[in-house]
Amino acid sequence: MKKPERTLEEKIDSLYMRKARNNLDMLGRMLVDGREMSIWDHDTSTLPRGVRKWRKKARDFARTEIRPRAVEADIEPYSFDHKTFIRAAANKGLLSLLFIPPFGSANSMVFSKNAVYHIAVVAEELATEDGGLALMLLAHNLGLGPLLLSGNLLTIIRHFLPHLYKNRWLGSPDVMAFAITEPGAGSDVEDPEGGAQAKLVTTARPVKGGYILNGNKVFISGGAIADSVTVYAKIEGEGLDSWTCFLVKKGVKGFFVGRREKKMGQRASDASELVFDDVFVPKRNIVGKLRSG
Amino acid sequence: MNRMDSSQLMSFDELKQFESLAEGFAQKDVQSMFEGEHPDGDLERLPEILNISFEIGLAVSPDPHMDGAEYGIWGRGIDSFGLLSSISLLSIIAEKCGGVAMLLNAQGVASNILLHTGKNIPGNPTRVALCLQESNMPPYFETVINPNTEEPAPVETVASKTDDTYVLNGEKHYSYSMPDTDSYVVMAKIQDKWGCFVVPSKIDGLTVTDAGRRTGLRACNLNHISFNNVRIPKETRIDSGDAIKLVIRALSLNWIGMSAIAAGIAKAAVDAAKQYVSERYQGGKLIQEHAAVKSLIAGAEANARNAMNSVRSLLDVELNSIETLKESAMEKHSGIILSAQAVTDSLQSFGGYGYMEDFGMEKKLRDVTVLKSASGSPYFLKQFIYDVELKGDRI
Repeated sequence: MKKPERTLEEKIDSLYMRKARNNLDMLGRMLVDGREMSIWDHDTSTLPRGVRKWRKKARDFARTEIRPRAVEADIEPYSFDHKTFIRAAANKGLLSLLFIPPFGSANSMVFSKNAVYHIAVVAEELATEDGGLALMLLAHNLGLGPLLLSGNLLTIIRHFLPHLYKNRWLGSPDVMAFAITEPGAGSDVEDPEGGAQAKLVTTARPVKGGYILNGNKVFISGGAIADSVTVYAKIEGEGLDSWTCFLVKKGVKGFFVGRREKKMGQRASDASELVFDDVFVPKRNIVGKLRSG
Repeated sequence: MNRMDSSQLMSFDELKQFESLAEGFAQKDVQSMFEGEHPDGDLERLPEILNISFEIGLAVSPDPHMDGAEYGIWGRGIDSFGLLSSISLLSIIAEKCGGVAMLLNAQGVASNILLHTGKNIPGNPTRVALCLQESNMPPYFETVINPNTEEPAPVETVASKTDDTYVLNGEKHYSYSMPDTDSYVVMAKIQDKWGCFVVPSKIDGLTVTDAGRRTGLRACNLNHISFNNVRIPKETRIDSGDAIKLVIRALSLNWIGMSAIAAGIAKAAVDAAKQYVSERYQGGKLIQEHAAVKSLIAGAEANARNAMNSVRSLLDVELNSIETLKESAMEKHSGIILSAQAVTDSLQSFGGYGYMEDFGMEKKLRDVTVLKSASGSPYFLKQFIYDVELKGDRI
């Protein structure tokens, strides 16, 4: 008997992967994913379990907290209420992904293999709504990073863990920024060859109990809103191999924000000049060891 | 494609005279807008600067007795001595400000349509703007050759005739114009053909809405114009029963003009980048000595040069033909892509400074980006170009 003619809808339906997969042998059915889901859901399902949750959280945060603020933050970045926004991100654990519980919010298994995996995945999701607000949060992580990556227990206990505690559990985050670029040397200082040839001029002069910083940093993302910055300087009279990272808190004498750049894009996140004019930094605020910057 | 008689084209010496006029205007008057912190220029100074552009004959008015009507940007003379002077003038002014050049282009295109018809325009308008684009017309070739077509979309601005008046209804989008435009040159559907009407800006039923905050070309007004039972006398119709040739002419001039503006911006970007890399030290040496920077600048200069040569190659095209329209669409598509690439590469050589307002490069990128997408984005232009190939003989 002749098989009844199938409708177009039936023909289309039979070509969907979930149906077509049934025509394969058992091994083929095991190898071919026939689940119907969006590309986003599929990509998410391929991530380690501990990261999946954060991708979803970041997407929700982007939709509920970034989307409604994006236009205002872009058009009026100077008057934008960044504190409320950053607090919302901190409350969701998005600013403490550089460490594991109880101080941080990263998944321990994933973190043990890659310390920045969560942040990279989260960054993608945040930027789907606004690159500027995403950068505001990411610049914070960049500023925080040296406190952990120094690997120095004293730095971690004195500065990193208390910062995370305040951020994650007290709900009053300090905003961090990372200050490396100078008028005569850009981010190429992070490259070995570029760094070796860079003409960096921010210096740290040893004095009793600490160091005196002098110099300018420019294009510092989040520099105008940061409560603390991790800033790089060479020791006075020495070469670039003396580079050291210092933690400088807002409000100390001689440290102030200079020009806030007028940017073409990602305007919600400021790019500012930071001026260090005889800023005293106590020894306890050296990040890691001297000359390990 | 039909070309003009080369013996009639503007001589090199004549061209130089016009170019030096535009250079003086750009370097003195347009440049003065950028004193102080104004990323898009001090727009409050625009009216004064535009008045100067009329006085010295760069801006074209539909009044044939005014300076510039013949030799200004898209003046009546382009039909005899060619397009090169207008292309050059737009490029030179765009080197200082793409937005001001776009103003003069918009004024020139609309004026040229009126001057070309040679009809007396009621009210003697001075500042005019073209209203062609619609929300559903990005543009489509099918719609251009048949405003009544349902596929892909009909023209929705419609004129209907009563005894001695026409009544306009509909809405035009993205009309570039000067401040204080006194009349709009409106391309509307009448029965199954195009009609071209000159509509005073201050008339019952006509509403002008600012298109809002834009990425670039901010010196140039951009409006949506809606017509709600706008009654205009029959003398305001300036075509002779079918305005399709005027539509083709307007599209061609606008696209060529936009490409010329983009080429000017690209040239200025390359010049600025060459200056910057010859002064900026990094890692102890001038950055122009770095291979990556050399590559950026060389690529940008080659692209800018080719963009300029490409648009100048249209110096002797006969307007009104479908072949010229295709050439113009190809120029708008590829010429501006070359220019945009030149601007991007030039900006990159500034590093982070390229994105800061102080250096003027981000404005160039914003302006050229808008030129790329406005009045026919690359995607729609490609469809348009191939549709001319397929269906051009229907006109």
